[in-house]
Amino acid sequence: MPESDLIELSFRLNGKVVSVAIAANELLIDVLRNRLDLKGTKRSCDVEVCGACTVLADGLPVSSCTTLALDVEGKSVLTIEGVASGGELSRVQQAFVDHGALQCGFCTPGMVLATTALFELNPAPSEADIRHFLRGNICRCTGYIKILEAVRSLA
Amino acid sequence: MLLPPFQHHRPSELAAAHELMARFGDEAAAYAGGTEILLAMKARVLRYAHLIDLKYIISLDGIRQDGGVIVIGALTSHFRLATDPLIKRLVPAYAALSDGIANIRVRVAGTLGGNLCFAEPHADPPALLAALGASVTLRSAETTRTVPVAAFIEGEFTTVRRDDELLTEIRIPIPGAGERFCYRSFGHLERPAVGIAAGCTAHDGSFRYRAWAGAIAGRPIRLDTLEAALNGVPPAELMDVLPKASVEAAATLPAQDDLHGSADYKQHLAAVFMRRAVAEAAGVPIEERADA
Amino acid sequence: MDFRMEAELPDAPAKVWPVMVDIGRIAGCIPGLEKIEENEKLKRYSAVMKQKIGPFKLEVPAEITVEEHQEPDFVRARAFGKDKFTGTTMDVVLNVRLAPSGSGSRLDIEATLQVAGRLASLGYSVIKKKAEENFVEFENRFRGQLELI
Repeated sequence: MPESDLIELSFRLNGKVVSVAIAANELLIDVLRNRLDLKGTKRSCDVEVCGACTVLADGLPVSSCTTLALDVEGKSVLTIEGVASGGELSRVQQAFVDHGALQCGFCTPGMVLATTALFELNPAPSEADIRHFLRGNICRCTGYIKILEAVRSLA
Repeated sequence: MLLPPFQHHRPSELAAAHELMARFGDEAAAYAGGTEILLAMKARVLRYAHLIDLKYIISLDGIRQDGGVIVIGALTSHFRLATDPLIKRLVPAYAALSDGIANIRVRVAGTLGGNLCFAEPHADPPALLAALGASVTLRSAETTRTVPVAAFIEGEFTTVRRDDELLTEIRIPIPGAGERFCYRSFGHLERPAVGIAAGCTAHDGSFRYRAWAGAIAGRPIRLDTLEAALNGVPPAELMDVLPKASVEAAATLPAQDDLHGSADYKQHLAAVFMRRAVAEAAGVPIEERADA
Repeated sequence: MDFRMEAELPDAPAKVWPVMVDIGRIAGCIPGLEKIEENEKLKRYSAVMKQKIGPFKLEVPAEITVEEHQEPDFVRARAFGKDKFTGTTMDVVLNVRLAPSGSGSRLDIEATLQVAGRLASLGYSVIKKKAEENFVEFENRFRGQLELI
C-alpha cells in the first residue's frame, strides 16, 4: 500500500470557508466529527441506508459515512450545527420541537437536514412528496407520526 | 469502518483518465458517486491502491437531445434524471424509475454510468433501459464503441466493458407518440428483489408489447414468451390473456433464494408486476394500493 | 452446498482406481485451482484456488488432506483454505466411491462445500451460482479424463 500524502481540502462549512489537511481515504463524517470537532453528525448503520449521517452538500442530502471528504472540495456543506442562526432555531427545528418529533434524538440531525433540503427544493410538498423524500431517514423511536406532523406543518 | 489508504487522482479530461488507468491497471478503479465501490472498500471485499475520480471530466456530464436520441452523460445522478425536464417530458417512465432508486442520498451521489458499470444485479435501471432499446458508449484511448444495454451486462458484477474503457454516455431512443413504458419493482431492502419493465406501442390500431425482467437474475431478461402471448392484443382485452401469461412467464425466470427473498416469492412478484406494468403501459392501469 | 456426480464406466474398479488417487489430475479438473503440489503422496497436497466475479477476487491457498482411502473402493479428501484479504474460508469434503458394476464400475462423487466470511455474507447467492457453474465444468473435464483410461 502506498503512503497517502496529506491533501489540502477547502470547502464552505456552515457558511464559512474552511481548510483542512487530510488523507485521501478520510471519510466526510470523520473529518467533520474528528478533525473539525462537529459531533452533531452521527454514524449509525455506516452503509448509507439509515440517514443518521446526513449532511447537505450544495443543498442536497449526502451520506457522510460513505463520502470521501475530498468529494466536497469547493462545495457548500451544511451540518446540523449550521442550521440554527444567530441563536434562533430554524423553522424546521422549531417545528420538530413544537410537535415533539424526537425521542432519543439520534436520527434528528439527519431528519432536520433532510427536511431542510426538501423545503429548499419544494416549498409546498404533498404528503406523498414528504414521505418519499424522507423515506431514507430511519427512526427507531418515534414511529414517524410526530416527525410527519412536524414536517407537514411546514408545508 | 474506515477506508484503507489509497492515492486519489482527479483527471480533468478523458485522456488523462485513460492514461491513469493504463498506468495503474487493476490497482486502480474509476469512481464517481462511490455509492457502491466505497461500501465494498469499507467492507474490505475490494481494495484499490488508486482511485480515479471522474467527476471533474466535464464531457461526461449533461443531458441533451441529439435528434431522436436522448444522450445522458455517464456522470448524471439518479436525482438529476428523476427531476430533469427533458427526461420527464420525453421518457417519463425513466424519470419515475430514477426517482424510486434507493434513497435520496444515494440518488444524489449515485450516477447512472456508475450503476451500469458496477452491475450490481439488484438494480432498477437495466431492465427499463433494455426495454427502451438504450445503449451505452464505451471509450478507450483509441477506440469508441456502442453496446446495447441488454448486451452490456453479462452477469452479476460483470459487463463487457474492457479494462481500458470508460462508459461515457447512455443513449436512449426517444419513444414515439404511440409508445408508452412503465416500470414496477419492489424490494424490502434498499435494492429491488424484482423489477419489470413493459412497453406498449400502438400503431394504426395494432398493439405490440415489450417486457423485460430485472434484478431477479444476473442480467435483464427479455420476457419473449410474454411478449408473444400479448402481441396484437388490444388493451381492453389484456385481462383475458395477461393473468395466465404472466404466471407462465414468471415460472421461466431463473431465481435464487437470497436476502431479497425466496425464489418462488420473486417469481410471484414478477408475475404481479408483469400484470401491473403491462396494463399501465397499455393505458389500462389495474387497481392497486399506493406503493413505492 | 452439495454436489453429486455419478458415472457408469466401462472399466473395472482396479483399472479406474489409479485416476482416483491421482489427486493432481483430479485437482487439475477443478476450475480456478492452480499450483497443485504433492507434499506427501496420498496424504497431503497444496494448491491455490483463484476465483473472480467481476471486480471481486478470491485467492485461497488450500491444504488438501487425504483423510481415508481404501483401494479400489473409496477416497475421502478434505480441502481447507482462507483468502487473506476478504477473510473468506473454503472448506470442501470430497467423497469418491468406486463399485463394481457388471464388467465395469460405478463412480459416485459427493462434494460438500462451505464458504464463509465477508464476501460470502455479502453475496452468498452469487458465490453459490459460481460454485454450481464450476462443478458443472469440473464434471465435464473429469469425464474427459475418465475417457482417457
